[in-house]
Amino acid sequence: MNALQRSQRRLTHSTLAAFAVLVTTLGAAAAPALPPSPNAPSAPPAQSSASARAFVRLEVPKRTLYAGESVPITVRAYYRVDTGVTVTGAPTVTGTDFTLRAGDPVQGSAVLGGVSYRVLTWKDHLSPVKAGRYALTVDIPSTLEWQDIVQRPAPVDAQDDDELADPFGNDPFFGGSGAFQQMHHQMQRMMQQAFAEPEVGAVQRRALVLRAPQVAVDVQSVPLVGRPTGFDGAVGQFRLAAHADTASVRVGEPITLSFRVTGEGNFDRVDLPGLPASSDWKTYHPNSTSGPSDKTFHQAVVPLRAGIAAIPSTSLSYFDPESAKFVTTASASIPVTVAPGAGAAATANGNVPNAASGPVLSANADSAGRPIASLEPVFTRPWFWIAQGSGAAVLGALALALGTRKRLRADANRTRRREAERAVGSLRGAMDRALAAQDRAAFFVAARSAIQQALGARWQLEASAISLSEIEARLGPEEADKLRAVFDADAARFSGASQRQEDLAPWKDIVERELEHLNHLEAA
Amino acid sequence: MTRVHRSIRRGSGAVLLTLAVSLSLAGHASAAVPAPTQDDANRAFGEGRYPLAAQEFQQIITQKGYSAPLLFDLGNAYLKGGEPVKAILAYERARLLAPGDAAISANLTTARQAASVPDPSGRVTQAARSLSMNTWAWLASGCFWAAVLALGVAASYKRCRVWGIAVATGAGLIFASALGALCLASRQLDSALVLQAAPVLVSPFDSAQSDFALTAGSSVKLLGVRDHYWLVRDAQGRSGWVDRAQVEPLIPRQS
Repeated sequence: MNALQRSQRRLTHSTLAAFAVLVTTLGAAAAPALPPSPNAPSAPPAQSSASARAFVRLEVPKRTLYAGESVPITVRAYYRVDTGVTVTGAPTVTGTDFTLRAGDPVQGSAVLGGVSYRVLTWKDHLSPVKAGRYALTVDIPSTLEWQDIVQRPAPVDAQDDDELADPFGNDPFFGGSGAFQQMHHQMQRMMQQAFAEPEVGAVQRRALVLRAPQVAVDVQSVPLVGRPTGFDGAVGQFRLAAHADTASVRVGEPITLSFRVTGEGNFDRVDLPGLPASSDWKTYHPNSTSGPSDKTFHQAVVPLRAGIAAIPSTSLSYFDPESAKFVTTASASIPVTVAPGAGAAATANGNVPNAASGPVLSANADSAGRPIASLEPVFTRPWFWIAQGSGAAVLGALALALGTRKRLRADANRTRRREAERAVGSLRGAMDRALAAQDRAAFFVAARSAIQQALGARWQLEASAISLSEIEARLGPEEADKLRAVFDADAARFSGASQRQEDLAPWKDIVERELEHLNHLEAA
Repeated sequence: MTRVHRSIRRGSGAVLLTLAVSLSLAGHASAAVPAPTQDDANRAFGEGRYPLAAQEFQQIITQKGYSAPLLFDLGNAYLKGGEPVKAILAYERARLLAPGDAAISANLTTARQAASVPDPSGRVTQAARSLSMNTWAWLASGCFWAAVLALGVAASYKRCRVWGIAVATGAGLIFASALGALCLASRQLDSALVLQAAPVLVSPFDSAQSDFALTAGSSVKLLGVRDHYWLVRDAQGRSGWVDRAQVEPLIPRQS
């Protein structure tokens, strides 16, 4: 199966984008001869050339137009059915003197001169921009894809051919090259055509711009004479209708007016000033929304006095190209009831004048109270946040000071404790030396001093100030009794009491246990 | 008017001093045209000359500043004079300063009925407006610092830990409530009242197209300003530009 056959099995087409249409073919492999197309060059193109496989026709209903007029045109693109086509863009008018509103194409088919074509049809509106004589044409960018096909006769051996050509040529019974031989040649040609194999060439792919044959149009300016005052360039045939969103309002309440313009023509050029401002009406510039065949203007108007019975009509002036005349059409006036504002009689600004019998109210205040310069709350003032920030700063500084003080105190205690531990260590050495020398006095002095140092560091007192009574007060009589012997032995040294000679080693153990016990007490 | 009078009594000393200074300055500045007094305005009101009374109350406010009684009287003058929308604005401003005042609320309701304008605030918002924004702000601030101090005490003194945490928790809860109420009440900061029925334009230019219309007395949110146009958003969420003369902020901006 060759590429063309595969492509022929693809289904018709799909829209790739707003203006890009892919067309594939289902037709026969061999295309009939192309009839001369309107945009074909003077010499007929070869069958395999791209331009011979597609052409464009432009249909313009009238040749004399007015600038700004909207004219319906039809663009038809013909593609031979055996040609794959991708339309890569919307139809465009050559030059800048026309505007074209291109929509989506409609696909169809046609047979011209015995050749089947797939036809894409755009029905658009063309609008000339300015006066002049123009040769109008339309371009459609496309990409064509096809495969050349050549019919080649089936090969016939020369000898066989001779035999087939005249198998009974020498037989006098058949009369030489008579009627039978003629019939034989016809059958031979038919057989050759029947068994001939198509020979396909390479797939051809070519991007090109199809251009419609030129159409001469004459564009005239809208006449300057006879233009109505409100004419704003609208060309066509239009109708105007007005509608109000409410039929009853109070003075000062807005009404939304809707002006709908319908008809045939170029709506881009249709503009409506709306209801003009007056002593009765305050008006605002209208906005507009456009549809395919209409344009609607919305305008807010406010009645300034009570008693207005109707909203005045609004007019639209346009140039009718069919009759070549200016036309002014007007909307009907809209009945409306305008009541006074909230009160008896309304004034121009929507307020009511002094009413003698007003609502029953609570009595006025007698005093002016305590005036303040602004109604803005305190948290919008800088000083409020400055005050909050100052409070935060004071609090932060306080916390910082307390923390520093605590840390310094902790550091002093730690230093004192370290010094006391060092002193206790040296006193332990002194106890060991006294123990070795059996110097009872020196041993108990060192023992008592070690206990005083250990407790003084923990209680944050001078070591010399630690007495038995202090120990009893802080640790209780039980602990004091354990240490009493140490303190008494040392006191006996100064009191001159008799000192028995006894082994100091147990005392060393007692003192060490007590020091350890004091450490545990502190930890607990 | 009980709360209004109470607030007057509380600040009587400072008020007298302020009034004396203001009156002396005002008298010095405009010696040629004597400034109207509250008695003058009340006299005009009593004689039924409401526009004059409103004008004089407005002058007094311009010279002396805002107070709940003056704004209340101004609202009364407007309402009696047939300008309910301006009365709504004056009452709303008075309610900012004295949110619990029953007389202000009653007259505001009357003004809304006269202008055919419903109260746009819901129950939650009304609850948040039961106190003034200043009261909520000070309450939130005080509770915040109380909570911080209580936490500090609890951290510093072990004996006060339970007490400190309890106080900090209570103060923290009040702080959170006050902050929430303040957020709700502070929506009034950007609130504005439509004084006249006004078309809303799509852009801040005189020649711009109108998009929709605002009714007189309705509330809008102010989103921005450009030249003499406010960018506003109404209750339905629509936004656009309105002439500044047609919309008045509830809380006047100080330039």
